[in-house]
Amino acid sequence: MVTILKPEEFYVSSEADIVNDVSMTEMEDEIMEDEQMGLVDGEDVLEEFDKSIHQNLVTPGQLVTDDPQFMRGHGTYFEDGGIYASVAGSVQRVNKLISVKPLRSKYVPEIGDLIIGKIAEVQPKRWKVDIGAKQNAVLMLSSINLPGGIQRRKLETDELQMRSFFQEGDLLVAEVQQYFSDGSVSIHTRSLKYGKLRNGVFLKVPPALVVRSKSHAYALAGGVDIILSVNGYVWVSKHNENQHSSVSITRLEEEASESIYSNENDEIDGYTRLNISRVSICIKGLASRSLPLTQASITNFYESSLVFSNLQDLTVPKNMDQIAMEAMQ
Amino acid sequence: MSDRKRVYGPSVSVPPYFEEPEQPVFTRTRDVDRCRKIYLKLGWATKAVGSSYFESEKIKIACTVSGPRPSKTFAFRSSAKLNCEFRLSPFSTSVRQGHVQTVEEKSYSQMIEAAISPSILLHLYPKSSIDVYIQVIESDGALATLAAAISCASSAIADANIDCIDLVTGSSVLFNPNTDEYWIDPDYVDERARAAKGSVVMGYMASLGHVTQVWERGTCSPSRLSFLTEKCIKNAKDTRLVINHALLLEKSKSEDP
Repeated sequence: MVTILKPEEFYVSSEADIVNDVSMTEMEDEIMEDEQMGLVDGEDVLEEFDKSIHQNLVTPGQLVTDDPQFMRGHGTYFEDGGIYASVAGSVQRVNKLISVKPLRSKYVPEIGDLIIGKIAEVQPKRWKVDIGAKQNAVLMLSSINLPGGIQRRKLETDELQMRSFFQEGDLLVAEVQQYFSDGSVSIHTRSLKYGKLRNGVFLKVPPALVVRSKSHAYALAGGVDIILSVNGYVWVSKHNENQHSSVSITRLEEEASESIYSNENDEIDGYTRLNISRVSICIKGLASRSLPLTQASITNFYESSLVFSNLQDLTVPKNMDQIAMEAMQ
Repeated sequence: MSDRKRVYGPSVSVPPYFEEPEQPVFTRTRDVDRCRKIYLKLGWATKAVGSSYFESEKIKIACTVSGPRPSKTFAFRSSAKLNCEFRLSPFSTSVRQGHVQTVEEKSYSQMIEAAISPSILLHLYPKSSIDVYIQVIESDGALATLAAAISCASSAIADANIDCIDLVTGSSVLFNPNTDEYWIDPDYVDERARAAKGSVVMGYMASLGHVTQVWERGTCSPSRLSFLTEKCIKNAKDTRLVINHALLLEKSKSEDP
């Protein structure tokens, strides 16, 4: 077991009056009955609070363990023979490795991750792509498919018309190709599975909620496709019949038409639009309740939401809670 | 010929009489050792990576943190650059301010940056920049506002989950160099009305017991400064209780589902 020590001396009772966030917990409600507007004495708050919170939550600078057998992981630092937390979050232990996992953290890229990004900048022979990480990703001109699927070296003429492929603000789906020590990554779209995104809605969820799996692109009922990227960016779009998951390099020229870099959306009928909206609301509902986003959870939530034919009724928090309860059973 | 468009005053007029402004009344009801009550709310700004709202009676400060994000400059940096921007709202002080950042605000920005940068593990974020925006909605004494801004900025950084060795809490004390009088967490009336020409503002990391920055003004003996520093440290520890409580409450709330 992890030796989580008693917090340092600054936790001792204090003369200072403390006002805290009027919270949802029962513990605080009991305190509020006695004290006006949440004005409570420091000692009382901490005694009550320490009983109620999870024991494995730590704040920056708090000693996690001074046991020398443990190794420090992410979210910790080593000082004076002890492992201290460097972020606020929950202590996690895998064998002898101790780490502190913050609830909301920036996406840390790994090679092979499917990610959705937004073009932030066009530079010579490369695009800078915002993928929600510490650094923008780099998409090299040599790492994309040319329209028509032509296999050749990229020339100066291609460099001059880079904005005809991707321009600032465009959304794309890609794969992480290389990871550099400074936190930046190189991505590529050298497959017909990847490329510019059209005919859909963009959503942003905490990356921690997206469960890494074999596939991150799913086709749901009602003619809706979703791409749950590992970096927490989600794309909900109209189902594409002509989506080729894998094409041999000899047939690439036939399959990769000029339309892969088109900015024009296809015609989307009303029924599909409603389904796209419904799936978007379902994903937002799952994310707002800190529930994991998987194909199964989204499908369950979607099916449970069909009780409400009017999408406005679906957005009511009480109804959302009811659906979440049903979907998670 | 008289000007028809001009409105002439009465032929007999008396200059207006203004009452003498009342001298400021000492409103301090708390002990000299006691700081003001604090309210802290984290994560109020959904678009920002981290945010905090700090309220201490009349002092109201909102802070947001952006980053770590790619640095705008092309020069390579082995560690992140911390940028602080401290701004007073035009209506925050008794004398209305302009919108343009003043020299005083810029110096406060540098002071806050100096106070909180030792706590952040900047080397973990190469080629990046971390931007801290502090907006004072209402101010009640320059010293206490600066101390509150330090605490608010540090709690916003913790909310942004940026790696730091500890949280920095600010503390301020006003003292009279000629007597043994001192006032912890002085408000505007204390600063204006008391015969005090000395002050100490401090940034303190309560968990590690490190002082990040001290600004002292006025004549003060080493023993007196040591005593005042101890008072500041005690006050900073009390503030740290609030930040810890708010942080853990935020995390436990989020973990419940």
